[in-house]
Amino acid sequence: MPARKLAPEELCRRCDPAGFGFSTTADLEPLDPPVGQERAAEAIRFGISIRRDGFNVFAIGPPGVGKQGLVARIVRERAAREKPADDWCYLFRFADRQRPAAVRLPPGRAAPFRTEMERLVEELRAAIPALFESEDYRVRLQALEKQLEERREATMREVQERARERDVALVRTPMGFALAPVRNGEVIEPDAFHKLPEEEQRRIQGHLAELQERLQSALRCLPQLEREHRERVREMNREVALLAVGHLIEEVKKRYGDLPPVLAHLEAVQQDVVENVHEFFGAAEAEDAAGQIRKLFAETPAMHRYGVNVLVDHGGEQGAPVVSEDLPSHANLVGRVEYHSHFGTLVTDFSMVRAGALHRANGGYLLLDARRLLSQPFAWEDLKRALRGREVRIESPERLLGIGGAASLEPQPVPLEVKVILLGERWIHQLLLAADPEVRELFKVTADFEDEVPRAGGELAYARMVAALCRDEGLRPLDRAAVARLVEEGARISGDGEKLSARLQAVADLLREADHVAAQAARPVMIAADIQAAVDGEVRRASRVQRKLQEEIERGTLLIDTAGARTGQVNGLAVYQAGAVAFGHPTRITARVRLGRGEVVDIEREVDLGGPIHSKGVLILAGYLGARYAEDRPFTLSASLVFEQSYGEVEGDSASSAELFALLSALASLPMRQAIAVTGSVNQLGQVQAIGGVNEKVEGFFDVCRARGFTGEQGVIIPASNVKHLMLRADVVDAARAGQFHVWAVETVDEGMELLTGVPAGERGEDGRFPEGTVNGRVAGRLADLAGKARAYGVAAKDAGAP
Amino acid sequence: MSGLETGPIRRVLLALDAAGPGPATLDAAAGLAFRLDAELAAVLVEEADLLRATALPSSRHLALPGGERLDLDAVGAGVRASADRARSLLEAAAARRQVRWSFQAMRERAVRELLETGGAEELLVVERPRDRLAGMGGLTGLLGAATAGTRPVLVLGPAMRPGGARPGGRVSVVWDESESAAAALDLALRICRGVAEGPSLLVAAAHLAEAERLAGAAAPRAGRWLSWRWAGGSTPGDLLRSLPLDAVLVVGAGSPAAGGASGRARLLREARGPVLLVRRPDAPAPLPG
Repeated sequence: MPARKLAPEELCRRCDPAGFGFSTTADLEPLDPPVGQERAAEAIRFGISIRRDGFNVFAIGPPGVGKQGLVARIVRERAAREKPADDWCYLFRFADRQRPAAVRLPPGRAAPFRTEMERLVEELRAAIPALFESEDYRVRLQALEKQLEERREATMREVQERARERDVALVRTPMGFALAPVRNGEVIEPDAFHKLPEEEQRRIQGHLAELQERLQSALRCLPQLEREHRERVREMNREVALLAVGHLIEEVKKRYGDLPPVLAHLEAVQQDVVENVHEFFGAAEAEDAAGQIRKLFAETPAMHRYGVNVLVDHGGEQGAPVVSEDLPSHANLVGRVEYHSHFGTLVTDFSMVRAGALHRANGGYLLLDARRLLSQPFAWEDLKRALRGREVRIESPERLLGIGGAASLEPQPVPLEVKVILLGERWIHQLLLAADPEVRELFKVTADFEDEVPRAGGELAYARMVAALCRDEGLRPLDRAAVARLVEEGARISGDGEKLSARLQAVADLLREADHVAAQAARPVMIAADIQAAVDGEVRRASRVQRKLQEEIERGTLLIDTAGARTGQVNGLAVYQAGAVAFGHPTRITARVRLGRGEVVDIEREVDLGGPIHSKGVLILAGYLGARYAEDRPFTLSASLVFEQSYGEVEGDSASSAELFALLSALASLPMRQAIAVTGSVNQLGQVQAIGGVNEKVEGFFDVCRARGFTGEQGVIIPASNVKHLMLRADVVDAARAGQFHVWAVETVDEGMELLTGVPAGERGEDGRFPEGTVNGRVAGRLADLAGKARAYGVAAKDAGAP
Repeated sequence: MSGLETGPIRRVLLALDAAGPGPATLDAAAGLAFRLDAELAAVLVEEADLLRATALPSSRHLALPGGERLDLDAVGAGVRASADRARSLLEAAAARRQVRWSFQAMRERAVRELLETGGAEELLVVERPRDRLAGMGGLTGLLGAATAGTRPVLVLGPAMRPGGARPGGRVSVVWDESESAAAALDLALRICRGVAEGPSLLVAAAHLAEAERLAGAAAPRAGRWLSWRWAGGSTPGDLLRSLPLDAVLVVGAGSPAAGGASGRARLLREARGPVLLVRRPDAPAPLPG
């Protein structure tokens, strides 16, 4: 069957505006969810509605298909119907200051509680000093001091009197007391003492020993008296403080009677105020360095530790929280404990515990980008730990790494009830599934987004999706022709005339640019020309490399023939990606053959410029040649293939048919038409298979031919299975219609060879031989000739004693 | 100001006993020296009985608290260490305030003479005995001599919590319009110079109306209107009752409101904060109370 020349209509599947029953997209009901994403939307709705462990959602799909938008919309719709999440705050834990207490409050009550406690402290600061400056307190304190003084005096009086009776002085020393004999009202000099009669000395020593016993016993009583006094003062202070604190805290308690944890905290505050009432006299503390240092080393100051650290405040919110964390780092996810520098020392307390995204989303939904999450140290493990344990535990990275011994806070974990929706590309999902068995347990629901949708019957839906985009973005509506052009572009982006791209991002960008063009032209509605201008603009902006290559081909630097015939030489087609725009351009592929051991040498692979798929394609050629032409004899060919003037990596097998054509041409010694470029992969059976980027490849060769001038002979051979993918530019279609440029579809290698050489391929006859003069006959003959030469060479070598 | 204002204070004389100074005492003395641009001179009183007792082998020494027995060597070392500590603390306090300072140890008798003969250009700072048990020596015996002299005397009380007074806190001047009270006000103003919160008046008057009048009368002397508080009477008891807890009480020694020797003694004994006794430069020294 000969290669089929495609009709112009087959080169681009047009969208007929007349098929649309609307004037502009403003007439359309916006489509929700976006076209083709119904299955993903259903999965998301299921995932967020089922209240079971592990039913979190992994939304997967290529970038730009609108995952984030659709997920956010569906989640927000559901969240709006749910009750707001509870507030959370951290409170000072008096029993264990290293472990701040996490307390849950009904939504909107944490902030007022904080204000209430601030006011309480302010009132205590005024009320407590006032009470302790009162006359009543002063009198009571003086009475206690007087009492202590009298008790101490009474304790010592007896010793003093007895000492006086025995002419002994009681002298205060820096370390305590001394007992020494007295003469004439003064302690006796040592010399004078030694001059005393021995009996007198013994008598004095006796007195001193007796008084020492008594003084010792008196002194032993003093600490106890002091202790009792301090306890009495403390008890009185407690009593006075309670007077000030009790009724103030009772007022707060009344407002939080429904919240037992808050009541318990208020009890603890009351107890702490009473025990540490002296801290309320700190207002006049000197603000010099020493005072600052005293404050630093003081335990958490009262004014501070009675405060409320509102971790999450949902006051005034309607519905459950929906949180999207753009930077899901360890700290941003599970929260952190901050520090501040105070006189060169890092200090922290419960008030410096900060919420993470999990705290903010608790009771609602958390949206995370999987790639960003995985790129942050600890974040993935943090998320899993939180979901697994159903609690958010704030851990420092040092602790997670098991390093750093500095004491820090261990805030009480917050119970977690959240739906997490991870968004990522499929490969990330696959990678995680392969590497981490917990993914299946924790993300049981997969929402798989389509990247393209069937065009048949989907054009109107596409128009409605465009209407939704215009509404959401505040863009002008499109008229029918503009929608039709956009549909065609949607098919072009998908690389398939029968499909439409679901990559909303690309469509939205196109619409934004077209809207800009329409605005400049003061058009209230976008028309087809605006869409085309946007498409052209994008291509033009990204065309520097393309134009450079084109220029070098035109100048003869890059050798591409577009006329004449050459043996073992064919124009292959390659696709380059320049940013968002891809373009094709021809590249010369040549083949040389000689006697050898049945291998096809891929020069690109030999120099490590060929990728594995390309290498696979070349190896298939050897299989094809051996099986088709040397079934019953040694395959003694050695062939080499090269992409001429190619200095970068070559990947993909889309040039394997071109390489085979070059090989066959070289083997058959048949020149091939250089006006025709070739694309398509080939299998071992000689069938030409579909490739990607067919539109760009055809257009790449078209541009070269147009620059050199059409001869009417030029065109491209493509696989027949790629015909449905054709969405070629209008100028290519016009040239085809004018007979200036052609596109042929082939199903087999033979069809291509016939078109390229103008010689029949030739079928194997009943005798197993290909007809003489045909492409295959010449190839088989050449291979038989090479086999004969190899045999002759082998006999000669054996005769010569070669090993 | 009248011609009766007190002269410049050249020296802040800090009397220390063997027990050594408390940090608040040192800070207060150094602060005063700084504010008055005076030298800080510390005198460590060497008590004769203590010296003899530490040299007498037969004397018995007991430690506080608890009454453990100490040997003589330990007590001697303790006395010397106490002096060294007092000196280094003084040096540190003076360095913080950047004031000139000196330190010397003197026998009790010499100190007594020094205190009795010193002039009005000195301000004596003495720590009130921490407890009545120390009435057996130390500064207690010197306190009478100190307060009997002609110089102003700042007697520091123990800082007690809650609400214990600290040097550097509010300054309350007992004001009864007497010349002695005026001298006290002059010194208080000088001490508070450059401080945001100046002295306030503790007005000793039998009636509120009289207190208002007296407060108004203080303004010309102070050069500005001072905040004031009525003591609710004019006796030392009234003053003690209405004195803010953390205030330094500045009182003219001859002021009627001070209530004579017994009143002054009561003020010194019962005021919870420091008391600064100020005498008129031309007034005769009161008899020891």
